[in-house]
Amino acid sequence: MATAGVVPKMGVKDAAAAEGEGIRWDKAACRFCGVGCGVEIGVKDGKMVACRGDAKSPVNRGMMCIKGYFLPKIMYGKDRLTKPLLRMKNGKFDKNGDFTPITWDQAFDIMEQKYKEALKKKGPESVAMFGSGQWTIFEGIAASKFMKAGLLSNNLDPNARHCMASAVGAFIRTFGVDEPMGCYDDIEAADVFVLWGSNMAEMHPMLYTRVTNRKVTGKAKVYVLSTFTHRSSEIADKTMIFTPQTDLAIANCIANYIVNEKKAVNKDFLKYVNFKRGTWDTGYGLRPEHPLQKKAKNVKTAKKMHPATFEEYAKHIKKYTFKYTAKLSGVSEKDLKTLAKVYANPKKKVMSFWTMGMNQHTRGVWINQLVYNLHLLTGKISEPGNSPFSLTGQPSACGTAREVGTFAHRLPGDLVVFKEAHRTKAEELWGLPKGLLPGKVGTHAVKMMRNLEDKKVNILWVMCANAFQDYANLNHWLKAARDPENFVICSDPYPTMSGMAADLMLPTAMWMEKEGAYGNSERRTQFWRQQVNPPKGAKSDLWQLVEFSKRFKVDEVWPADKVKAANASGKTLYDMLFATKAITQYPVPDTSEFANDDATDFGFHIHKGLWEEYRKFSRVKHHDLAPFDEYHKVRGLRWPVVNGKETLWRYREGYDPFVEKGSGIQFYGKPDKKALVLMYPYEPPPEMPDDEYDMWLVTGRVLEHWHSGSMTMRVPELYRAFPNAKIFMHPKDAKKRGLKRNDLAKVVTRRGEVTARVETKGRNKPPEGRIFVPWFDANVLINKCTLDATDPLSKQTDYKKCAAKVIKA
Amino acid sequence: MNIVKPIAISMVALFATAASAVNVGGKVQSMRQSNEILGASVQPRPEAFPDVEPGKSKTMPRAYAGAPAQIPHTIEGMSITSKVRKHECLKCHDRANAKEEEAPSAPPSHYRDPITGKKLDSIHGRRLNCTQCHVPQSDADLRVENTYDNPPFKGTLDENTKVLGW
Repeated sequence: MATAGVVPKMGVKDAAAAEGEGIRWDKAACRFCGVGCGVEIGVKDGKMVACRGDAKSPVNRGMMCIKGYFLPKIMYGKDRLTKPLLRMKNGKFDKNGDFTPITWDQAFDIMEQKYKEALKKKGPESVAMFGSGQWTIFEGIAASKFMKAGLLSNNLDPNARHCMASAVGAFIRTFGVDEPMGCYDDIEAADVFVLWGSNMAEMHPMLYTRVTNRKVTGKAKVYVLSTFTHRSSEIADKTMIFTPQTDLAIANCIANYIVNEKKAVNKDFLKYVNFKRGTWDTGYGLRPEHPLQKKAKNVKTAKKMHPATFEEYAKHIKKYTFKYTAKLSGVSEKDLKTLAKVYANPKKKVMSFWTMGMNQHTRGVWINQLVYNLHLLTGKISEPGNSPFSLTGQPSACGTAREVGTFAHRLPGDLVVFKEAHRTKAEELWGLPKGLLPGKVGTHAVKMMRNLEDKKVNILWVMCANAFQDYANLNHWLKAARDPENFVICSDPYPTMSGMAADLMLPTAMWMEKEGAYGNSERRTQFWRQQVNPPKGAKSDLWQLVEFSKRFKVDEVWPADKVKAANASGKTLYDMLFATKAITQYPVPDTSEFANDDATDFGFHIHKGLWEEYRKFSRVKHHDLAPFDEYHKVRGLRWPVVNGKETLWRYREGYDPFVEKGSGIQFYGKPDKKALVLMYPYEPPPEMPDDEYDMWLVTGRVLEHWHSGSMTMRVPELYRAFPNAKIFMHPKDAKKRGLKRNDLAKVVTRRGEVTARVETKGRNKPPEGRIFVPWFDANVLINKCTLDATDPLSKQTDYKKCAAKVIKA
Repeated sequence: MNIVKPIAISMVALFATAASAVNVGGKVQSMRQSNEILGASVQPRPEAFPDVEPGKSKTMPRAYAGAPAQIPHTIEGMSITSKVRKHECLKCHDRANAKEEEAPSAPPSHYRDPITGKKLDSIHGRRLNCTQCHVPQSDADLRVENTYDNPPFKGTLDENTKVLGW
């Protein structure tokens, strides 16, 4: 339902009116995936007792998935951390000591000592923070300010690097502005859905219900492109199983049909696009000494794009005939033709969905861009139902990681650290001396771990993420964490794998235990109030970051001239970054109905202060956000919010207030307001099955568990629904190896091995020669096996393909 | 400090023998049921899901008012397709069939348009992917207990209908 400009309002009183049995109800956003379902939280006697889909949320209309329904339990695992735990022996920190409870003061003491040692010895590049697309927006802002403006280190990168970096790379390169142009309302307007490497049925269930409804009411067709059969195939008109990596060829094949065979290019739309040729043979983001890196010709110039003409583009894709592509990909010519016709038909409104299949890809940016090509060549973009839609994995990968810019190269509002004008703007908006912010791009996530291994990074703070379960080629990083020269801190509500690998665990207040805000896949920003108190001793990530900033005098971390320029000698980072006039001007809100521990602890409404300051960034590049208080009244707003109205479709006149009258379409992220159609070929992946490692290994999630399972594995109902990770494989492959269902088997790669049980009848049905292993189970650390090859452009790891063998355990 | 209780006695014995250069300190334990992180972990016994045929099982208690019902019978090999007629869950749980099949019926919320609230003759298309809310439970031993108290189930199943005043 298109509700352009209409902002549904509902205050506390309305929510409270719905209460029953002494339960206080209030709106919030789900803790899990990027769909961003609205939920209502039922609290009684200070505990969350119930949860329901928010009937007033346009996202999910009162429904939730199984994880959503069991949200009340995620905060109540018996092993919640309530005290900082430090590895100690004889009352002192010891790298090989046992985890011992200490006070917060003691925790900050050892952290202060370790940070200052590293900074003194090796400078700001020796400290790093691995953050999260599950941080609240406020936490992301605080982390950015603390690391970039405080410690002057751009070594801040979120787990969203593993999740959305390729999508971001393609948005910026193609359109000049991050995040989808359309929104979820496209679902109710589309005639055809094409899933390119997305198992929505399990990973984005509430959007999948909307797609299902279109399908069963006869209004739309569904095509699933995947490397194995999965639950989303249930509603598909056709599931097309392709050989990993050949999606590149498939996209070019469809383009070839549109351009050369059917001549179905939307000529009127061509005035809104430029053509360019990308740089090929760019390596695989491995360490420089790796043979594949040495062999690649254009590692250093991977980013370059060269001017090209439409004719050159047409010639380039000619090779990708149905015949050639069918042979390469394993998808039949007939099926390829069906898909091509869908995109070429001007009467069919097409919504392309994708997630990790396309993003976790050593050519992730390319494949994102190749799919945008199809929508740009046909003009099927920026209008209801015609929508290339990159689905986000995490609840605030968009709101926090991307919009706040908690990446090694970014600043808030799509600004970047390597442009002086952008740094100057950030310094101005943050009230900091000119020239303070460092311009060197920091270590992206994968490099962060490689630098930890090389002892170039000595301090790593992992927050709201499970680095030591989610990184590919994990054995290396587990060893690096335990290197006596390194000090690793992990903030989490529970003892996770990352906690186990760390030297210090910090007990963290989570989700409804703090005021928060998330931004979902369709640019919708959603706020919630603190609903319950955290267990005594647990503190929010925001509190941890801000409180720790009190431990640094600016004189210790800033160059003397900047200290002088800011007249800040003797002041702390807390004074300069968080307790500024701009932020402290907002008093602690009324806490009679809803507590606000962070605001109460600091003595001002820090969330509101940070937000209002951050909001100014949003206006630099058309990301306009609304005032703080507005979000507590509504079921989220999709930015840009201009004159109080949200924007559903960007870049098209009539929908987007930034598009000038009479211009039709303006891709205003680009200087000439034109989007890019990029020329890229099929290139093989870095590792393919061979005689010894004869299977493709694909990893991913399952419906019942969120990421590494640190929350959902502690919910009995979710745990019992899927307690142990399995090796999903074809029955014939199992038989060949003398294995049957539930047998223990080893998955072995060149990097590591895990043991798990075989599943031949499960929900995922890989074809022969492929296995699927989910990564939620700490007993089955499948990332010991995966390859840490990345997209050279986005630096995102490919978790979807490497070579493995399976043997009887 | 909360310390995770070992899951099963037999596994404690396993842990005791596990040794490695990288040993986690103290008694704190993650979801990994092994005290060392570089080598192999243990694998619990395979979990078993109910193999009771539909119609021969007992309804399970709900977690709280409004929580989805859990599936007490086997669903292995059952098809949930977009074709309502081939949808095996609906063969018994659709309102039209429940009485005859002596099965619990899908609640009224499933027979409304979620946007307009309009009552429908058949189940709404958004409600067809049953297993995204309703799941069977295996007999796996919990790795960590949960302290959430299931409040007694009193509320209505149709909470949202109440909220919207339908």
